[in-house]
Amino acid sequence: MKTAPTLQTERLILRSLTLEDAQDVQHLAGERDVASTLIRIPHPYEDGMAEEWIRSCYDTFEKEEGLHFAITRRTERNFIGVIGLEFEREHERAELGYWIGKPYWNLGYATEAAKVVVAHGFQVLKLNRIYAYYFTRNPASGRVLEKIGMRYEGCRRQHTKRWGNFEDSIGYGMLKGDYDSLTPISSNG
Amino acid sequence: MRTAPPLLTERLILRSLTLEDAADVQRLAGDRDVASTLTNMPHPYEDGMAEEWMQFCSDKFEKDEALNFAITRKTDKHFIGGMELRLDPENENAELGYWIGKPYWNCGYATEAAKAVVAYSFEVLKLNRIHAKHYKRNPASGRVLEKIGMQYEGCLRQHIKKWDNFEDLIGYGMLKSEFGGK
Repeated sequence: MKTAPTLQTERLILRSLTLEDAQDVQHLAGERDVASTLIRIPHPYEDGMAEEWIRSCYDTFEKEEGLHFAITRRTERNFIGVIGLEFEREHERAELGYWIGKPYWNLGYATEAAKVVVAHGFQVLKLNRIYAYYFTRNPASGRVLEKIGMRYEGCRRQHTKRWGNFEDSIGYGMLKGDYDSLTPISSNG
Repeated sequence: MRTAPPLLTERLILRSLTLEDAADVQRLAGDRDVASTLTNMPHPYEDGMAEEWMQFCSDKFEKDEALNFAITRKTDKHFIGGMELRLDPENENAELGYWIGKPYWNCGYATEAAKAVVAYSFEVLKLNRIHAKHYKRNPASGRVLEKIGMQYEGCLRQHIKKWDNFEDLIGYGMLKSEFGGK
């Protein structure tokens, strides 16, 4: 069995999800304001769903289709959200997705986590492209993508129906070349 | 086998694929210039692949996942290309894809066929949105989407690796509210 990497930032530890995270996932992702901007989060978030989802993450990891991390704080070691990549190996690209529990919003955690996951994607996984979509009505998510150096790539109008409404999705993307030009050469040495 | 309902335009009949089309599919889609702008088109296009692909289309039609049309000319009944509508019922949208055999390029056939399939999507299937993507290096495909009234929605840089090159994809879309009808 392969082991997922652990990534560290100034304030965060990104580690593999375990079944012990299920309660936190259910509690934090079950919040309406968190779920409303995410396509695949069920609502209400019922018992057993978190375990099922965490098992599906193991499965995608084994098949090299995805890599998901629990975002935890260094200080208290508490679980605050999830970030992950879903791969299209054939095209050497991955889609980035993330959510942060509401008590932990507006502290820059998503940006800090996304930065290290993107670095892992380009430097270790040798991807050519990482991209992400967010709902237009959730501009905070767009600011995360801007801050980590992604570029606006367009808007898929009314592409997703979520809770009876058609939502516009904004796309951002970053190429290996973009990433290399953002990263000081010394940090690769 | 059934892969799509029949649709009529001024010069074309769009109909279900049949196994008799296999040789035409193999010959026309097997052309390097046709295959080079299509992500999922095998190359070389070997014996048996067309039949296999049609069975796949038939399965997707049965499951309401896609419609696949044979584009044929009214006059001589020639098979000239293919058009696909990949359905996403949960989001009430579909992705349009198409190819035209090289001998039939630059005659406006793709535009004529796309117009009919888009009308069918909004009027009969009651979809909310139709979208399409084309390789940036194939602007002729973009002109088809412009002509049928789709709007530019962005560029996915180096999204596809095709024959060892990373290709930019241009996205277009059209909403029910923008569809003029008739």
